[in-house]
Amino acid sequence: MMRRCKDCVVGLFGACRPDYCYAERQGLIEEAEYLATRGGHVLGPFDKVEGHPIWRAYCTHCSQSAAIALDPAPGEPQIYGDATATVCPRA
Amino acid sequence: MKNRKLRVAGIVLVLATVWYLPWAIGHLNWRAPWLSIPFALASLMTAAMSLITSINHWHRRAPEPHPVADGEEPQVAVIIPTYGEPGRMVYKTAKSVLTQDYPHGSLYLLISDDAHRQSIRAVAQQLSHEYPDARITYHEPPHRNDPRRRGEAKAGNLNSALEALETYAPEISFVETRDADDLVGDEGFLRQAMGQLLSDPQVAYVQTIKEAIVSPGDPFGNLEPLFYYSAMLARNAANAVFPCGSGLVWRREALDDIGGFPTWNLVEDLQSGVEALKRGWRGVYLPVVGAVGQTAPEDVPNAMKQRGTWALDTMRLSFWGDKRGLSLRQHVQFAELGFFYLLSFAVLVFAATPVFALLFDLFPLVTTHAAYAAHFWPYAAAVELLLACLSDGLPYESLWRARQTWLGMAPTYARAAVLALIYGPKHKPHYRVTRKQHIHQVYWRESLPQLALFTALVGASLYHLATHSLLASADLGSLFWAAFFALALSRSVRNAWHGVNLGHAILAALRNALHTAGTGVRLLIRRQQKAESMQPGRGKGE
Repeated sequence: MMRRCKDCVVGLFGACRPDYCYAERQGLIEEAEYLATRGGHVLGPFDKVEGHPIWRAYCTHCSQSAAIALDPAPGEPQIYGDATATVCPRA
Repeated sequence: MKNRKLRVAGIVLVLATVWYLPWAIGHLNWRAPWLSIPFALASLMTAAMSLITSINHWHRRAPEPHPVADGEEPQVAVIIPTYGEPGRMVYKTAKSVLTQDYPHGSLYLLISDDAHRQSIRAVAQQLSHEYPDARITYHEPPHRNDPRRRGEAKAGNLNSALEALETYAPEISFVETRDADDLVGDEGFLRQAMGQLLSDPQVAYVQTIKEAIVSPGDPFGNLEPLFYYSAMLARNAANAVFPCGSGLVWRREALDDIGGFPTWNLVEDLQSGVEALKRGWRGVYLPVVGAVGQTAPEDVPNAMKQRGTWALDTMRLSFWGDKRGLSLRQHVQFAELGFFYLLSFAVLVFAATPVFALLFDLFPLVTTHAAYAAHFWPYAAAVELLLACLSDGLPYESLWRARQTWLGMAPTYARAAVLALIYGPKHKPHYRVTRKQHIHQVYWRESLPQLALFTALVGASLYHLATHSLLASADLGSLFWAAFFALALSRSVRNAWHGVNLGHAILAALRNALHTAGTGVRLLIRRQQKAESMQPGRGKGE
């Protein structure tokens, strides 16, 4: 079972188990994949960072990462990581 | 509205409370203070809630209908905020807005997509082709990290949509907010709601009834008839109606006056109403079906999340919200809203009390059967009478279902109250959009408090019946309450596997367990064989 994300209302009410925020993060994942693909990266699956509302994937060519954050702190991006901003060196 | 029965029931309850409560406090069992003190506190809370409810329902009022005449329909902007809902769902919602009894030319539809999806942009384009008379815009709010954004989640989305209206349609004076999964219910919804706004310039918003497409019998209590057909009429009479987020039309001037959709609380609706009422605006409740959810939470975690969020929102407002500017009547109405959730502590105490009585002969009161019957049962009957009058006109099943939902959700409501206190006024948890798909599984863990209480009530009753003579020595009062609470909890217990064939689920679990056990045994045998084969000198010569 995933460890619940701190401060998420779903986890606080014990409702996190069935992958609650799947639909919410899909849009961000699509956007991250679009940015990464533009740079020639091929992302693997997005996996959750335990205990945080963050999902991270790695380029299968160069291992650079792309991440999405559902609840970023003020001023922090929702989509980030080298794979979303740079060209894949092995593309 | 005629309200005589309810007033009489309220007076009877006050008299019964005066008869019962002081007597009960005077007969507490001080040998078991851990039981009697919570019981006394629970009784005091219940009495306070009963009194507040009686006062609040003294007046009830439904507004006179003033539908807008054909040809006089003012322009209305309809904002549909979305964040992850399927495109098909958003399309059906938007189409229902455009096909209601309101001219397309007077509608401006703004689909505000926080997920920035091509599929939703395509929905807006398709609708523009199908309804060329209507103005339809696809809008993308700034991302959550963007400094231009005012608020997280839905409030941030709506505020961005409001700002977009300044650019696209500054002339429009009325704004409807409609959740992306909520179809228009009554075809005349907007015509009726607009009539209320036009007939009184002090009306800030008009809230209508929200329904939803639910399973037969509404097992999760999503329709909430007691709220929409009873409580809201009382709130309307006291000018304490609050917006429920959808099926709702705002006067734009009022929205501007409160500075847009507030972001202090988890969701914007309740707080926005308080802000408007504080400033002297009126909120109107119109009993027509304005919204029909295409889906409603019908699995345990989703229901817990939605109800828990509502409870947390309300408790934050009750504990920490700035309500200065509300009138006394409005304060009492909002106090009832907070008490509704706080009473979950009391109901858990009441539900647990028969277990101690039946198992250990431990009672919160020390008295004779006759004195107990003479004081308590008139009070219990008066509570029932008030509840029956509150649900006047609705089938009794509605009242029972509301009770089942309330008792089933009591642990979640209690948790919400504690969370509201812990987080304080300056912090709040992150909001999540309510999931629009059902995930049917067996939710034992999520339903554990209800299951434990249910099992304790049934087990204690069986034990008591096995150890006492039913006619001579059994505690019939405790048995009655144990049966009452067990029946009320049975809905939550059943909901734990709603949508699942329990027989198949049990067989699958058994198969898994057998498979795991078999694998374990095989591993042990293999290890044993390996160990034996490695021991020197074993076998041939022995």
